[in-house]
Order: sequence, then structure tokens, then C-alpha cells
Amino acid sequence: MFKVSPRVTSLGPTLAASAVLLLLPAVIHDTFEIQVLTEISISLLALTGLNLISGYAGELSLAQGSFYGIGAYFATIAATRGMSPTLAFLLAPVAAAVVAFVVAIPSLRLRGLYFAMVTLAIAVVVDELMNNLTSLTGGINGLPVTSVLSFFGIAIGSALSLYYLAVILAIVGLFVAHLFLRSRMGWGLRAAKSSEPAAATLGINIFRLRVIAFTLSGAYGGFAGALEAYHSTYISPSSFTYSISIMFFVVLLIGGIGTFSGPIIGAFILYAFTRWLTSFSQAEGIIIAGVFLVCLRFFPRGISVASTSFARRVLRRFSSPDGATPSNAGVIEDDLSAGQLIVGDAAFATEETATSGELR
Amino acid sequence: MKVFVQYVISGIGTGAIYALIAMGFSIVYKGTKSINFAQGEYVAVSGILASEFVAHGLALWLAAIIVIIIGVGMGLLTELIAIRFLRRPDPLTITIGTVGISLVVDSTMIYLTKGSTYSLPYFSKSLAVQLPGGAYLSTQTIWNVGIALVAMVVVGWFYRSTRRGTALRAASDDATMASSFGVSKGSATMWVFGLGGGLAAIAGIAITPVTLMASTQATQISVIGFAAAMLGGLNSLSGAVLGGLLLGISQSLIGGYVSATYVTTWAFLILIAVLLLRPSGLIGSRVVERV
Repeated sequence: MFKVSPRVTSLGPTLAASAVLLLLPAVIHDTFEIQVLTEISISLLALTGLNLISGYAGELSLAQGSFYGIGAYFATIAATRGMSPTLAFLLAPVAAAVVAFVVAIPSLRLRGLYFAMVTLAIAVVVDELMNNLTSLTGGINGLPVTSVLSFFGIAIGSALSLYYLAVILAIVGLFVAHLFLRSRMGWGLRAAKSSEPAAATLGINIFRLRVIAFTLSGAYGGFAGALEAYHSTYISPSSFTYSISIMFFVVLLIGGIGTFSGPIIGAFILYAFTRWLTSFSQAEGIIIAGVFLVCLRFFPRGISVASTSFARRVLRRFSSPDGATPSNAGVIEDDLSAGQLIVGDAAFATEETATSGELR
Repeated sequence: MKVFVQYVISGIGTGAIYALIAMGFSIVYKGTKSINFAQGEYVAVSGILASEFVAHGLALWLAAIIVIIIGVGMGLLTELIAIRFLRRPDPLTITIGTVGISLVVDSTMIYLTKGSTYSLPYFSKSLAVQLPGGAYLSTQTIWNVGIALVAMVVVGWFYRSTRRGTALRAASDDATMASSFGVSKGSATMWVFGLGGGLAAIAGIAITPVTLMASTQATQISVIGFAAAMLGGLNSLSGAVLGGLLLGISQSLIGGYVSATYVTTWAFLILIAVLLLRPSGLIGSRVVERV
């Protein structure tokens, strides 16, 4: 039917999302809407990072919210302690990446679920530190973010300029992830996910690749956090609890973990939840987790794969009986190949790999 | 010296409870090869419910029985959702399912309790007895160690000497082989989740008089319990007990001599150290493969 191209990531979703996000301010003038869209871009960045370690490397990470927090606190604290705000902003992902790297060395040596639990421990510890290192973090009261960023002489003061900064960073983030996944390292990472022994036989240093993936995911989280600090102009431990980590993971899974468009869909889902559930925000977690469990049951590979396979079925029905490929199937083909190659052989939620999920 | 003894004693008290939580992790891990992220939530819910029941005039023993039944029920419900509803037997998906469940329970608890803290009175009227050396022994510590001991002995006896326990051991060694001998995989997973829930409920009731309980503590309890289970060896029940005691004592000493603020950080550092030095735990057999 459709030729499965060896391309694993397609720039289609990225370009589409970028175009939409960059052009939206032309039609939307409401500051509140702009702020919500900024939030989407910020979570897109965090989710893209999480997707690297949890989607492509296949290691469940529940610490993305902590790297998010580390980025936010680093950007804020360093700026108030005399560093140039812009430099602090740019170093925030480095700080988060360093923490990720240090934790990755002991914990990624172990296969399977141990790593998941260690990441949850990171989340709890970072929460404890944010709450208790009062002289540094302001404790439970948090810190105001008063510094102003400026890039190339342009001050990021208005909601719109911050929006553009966030969108540009999110697009760059997606593009870097795209390059990473198409590099030798990206291929090695996915090879290791489908079969560790086979990958090891090919001379792939699995441990090293996973450490790199986790470090990168930390950097993404740090950038997202630094943006969030300037976006909300006030940071406190309650914005970076472990439930944020779990939330990130959950929406990524709903969107489609291990697919390139998964984080994009996930970010919009997070937007939908936060936008429409504000009236009963208390029940937000219950609703999201309920949706998550239902998705895990009925679309275990997430919306992106479910929708592409649906599109494929529709296309197959309408394509000409002699099997000629419709000429306009290019975009979908790209996305299909993404879904199949990455998720099809993944340890995540696929029945045929139930055995590769062995943890012994 | 007197102070040291004091710290060790209170460490044994909390350590015994950690051991119960760790045993819950081990039992579920042995039975399903997955980690039950909702374990800490059971503990928190049980503590809060027990406190509510007692506050509404129920006798403690009656409240305890009801809460333990609810705890077993929570375990069974988790199994129902994470295994039966998802229809996916691979351990990673089960674990992800329990993450979702823990989020549901967490949000529900925060919604209902509004973040308030719950307490229970000590089980005995007198609060402490003085030991010959001068150190004080809290009566609740005696209770907790006793409760933990009874629970451990019962669980150990259950696994070693009953038909069902033997079946569970067989299923955890090789579920497919065991099922060909008539041990259904479904009943085995129900039993382990139910047992885990029951142990967590006992732990929740016993620890609430000492540390108080709030909905926000659930994840922290999970991490500490898991660190204890890891410390001893995740696939060993006696390892869970040893890990719990060691973690409780060392936490109490650190809290007494260094700082009481960073309790979880300490558990985390232990966890990292164990992962680095001896990933199979102190007395666990080798389950963790290095890549």
C-alpha cells in the first residue's frame, strides 16, 4: 500500500505547528489568549524533551517537572544575584542538564522501572529543596521575577515579545530534536529500544546514548522552566511539584509518546485542559487521569498514532482499486512512517513487545 | 549515648512501618514485575480515613478493621484498572497505569481534604516508658514494631506454608508455567495487589499517630517505601524488612544529629548509593541487569 519511508521524523508537523503559532498573533489580539499560547509553547518545549527520554529511549521519566523547576529557579536566582538576566536565562537549561547528567550516571545503568522510581525520587527531592532552602529559593513563598530579558538589544517586556521568544525556542527545540533523532545517536537510541542485545551487538553504547537523551531532556525542561519564570513573573514550589511531572508524562502519552507530533498534540491537550477546566481546577487532576486511563486502554499509542492509522484506513478505502497511491498522500505517509517505525517496535504499550518489557 | 539510643529506638519504630510499605512494593513487584506507584497513596488514604473514623467516634480497632478492608479494596481496584481494564500484561504499562491511578487518588484526596493534616491518638493511654539507661521508649513505637512484626510473620507464613502462598511464589517465578498447573495469572495479580493494599493500610494506621498524615505526603511515602525496598532487594521480602529498618534508623540519626528537614533527600541519596554499589540490594538476588 504505502511505501514506508526510512525517515523517522517528519518536519511536516513541526512546520505546520510553527506556521500556526507564528501567525496566530495576527488574528488574536487578546493578551490573555497570547499568554495561553505562550504556555502551549512552553509545555511543547518541556514535552519535546520528555519525549526524547521517555518516547525514543523508552525510559519512563517522572522528573520533567523538576528540570522545569530547576530552570525556573536558576534563571530567577542567578538574575537577582548579579548575573545578567539574559545570561542566566541561557544558562538555566545548562544547569538542569547538569543535574540530569549527574542523576543519569548511576540510575540509567539499570534497566526498566528502577529508573522511573529514581526520577520520581528526584521530583520529591527537588520539591523538598525548593521548599526548604529558604535563603535561596524563598521557601514556600517563592520568588518574584523582576528582571527583564533582552536579546540583541530587544527587551522582552510585553506579553507578545515573550510569546515570540517562546515560540521561536519551541520551534528551535523541535528542530534540534528532529536533527538529533535523525543522527547516528538517534538511530542508535531507537535501535536499543527495540532490541538491546541487537543494538549492543552493533556496537551501540546504549548507556551513553540514554545518558545523552536524559541530559538533553533535562536541558529542554530547563529552558521551558526559564521561560515559565518570565511568563508567570513569580515562581513558587507549588508550580513545580511532582504532579506537574506526572501531568507532562500523561499528556505526552495521550498525545502519542515516541512520535514526533506527540508533544505537539500533548501541548495542545494541556492547553485544552488548563483553558477549559479552570472553572473546576480542583478536579483537573482527576479528569486528566481519567482521560489518560481511558486513552491507555483504547489508544495505547496515543492520539497521533490512532489518528494516522484512522487516516490510513480512510485513505485505503478511497484510494483507487488498482492500488495506485493517491498523489496527495505525502504528508500522511511521513506521519505514518513516524508512527510505525517508532512506536510499532517500542516497548511502550505494544502487545507484541510484551516480552521485551521483561525487567529481569 | 542516651540520645543515640533514643534516636535508634524511634528509628526502629518508623523503620518497621517503612518495612511494611516496602513489603507492599516487593510483593507487587514479585507478582507482576511492575511497580505500584499508588502504594504511598494507599498509606495516606488509610491514615486519613482512620483519623476521620476515630474523630467520628468509632473505636480504634473497629476503624482499623474497616480501613484495612478499604486498603485491600483499593489494591484490588488498582489491579482491576491497571491490569484488567488496560488488558495489557506488560509490566511497563501496568506501572504507567498505576501512575495514572496515583494521580486520580492524589487529586481526589487534595480535593476532599483541602490539604489539611490529620492525626490519630496513640494506641495506648500512656505515652512512653523509661528504659533502664534513661532513654524513653514511646508506646507507639512498641505498638508499631509489634504490628509490623505480626504482619511480617503472617505474610511470611502465608507465602511459605499456605497453598495460595505457594501458588503465588510459583506464579512469580514463572507465571506461564504456574498457570499450566492451574494457578491463574489473574488470581495471582489480584492477591498481590490486595496484599499490598492491606499492608499499606496497616502502615497508614500505625504511622499516623507518629508523623501525622496529609494528602501531600503520599508521593514522599512512595519514594521512601521504594527506597527501602530497593535497599534490601526488591524481590526479597526479608530484604524489604531489613531495608525499612535501616532506612528508618539512619533517617532518625540524620534527623537527630544533622537536620530533620531533608528526610526524603536522605532516602534518595541512599537509593542512589545502592543503585551504584549494589543494584540487587543488600540481600536480594540479582534481578537488575546492567546494560
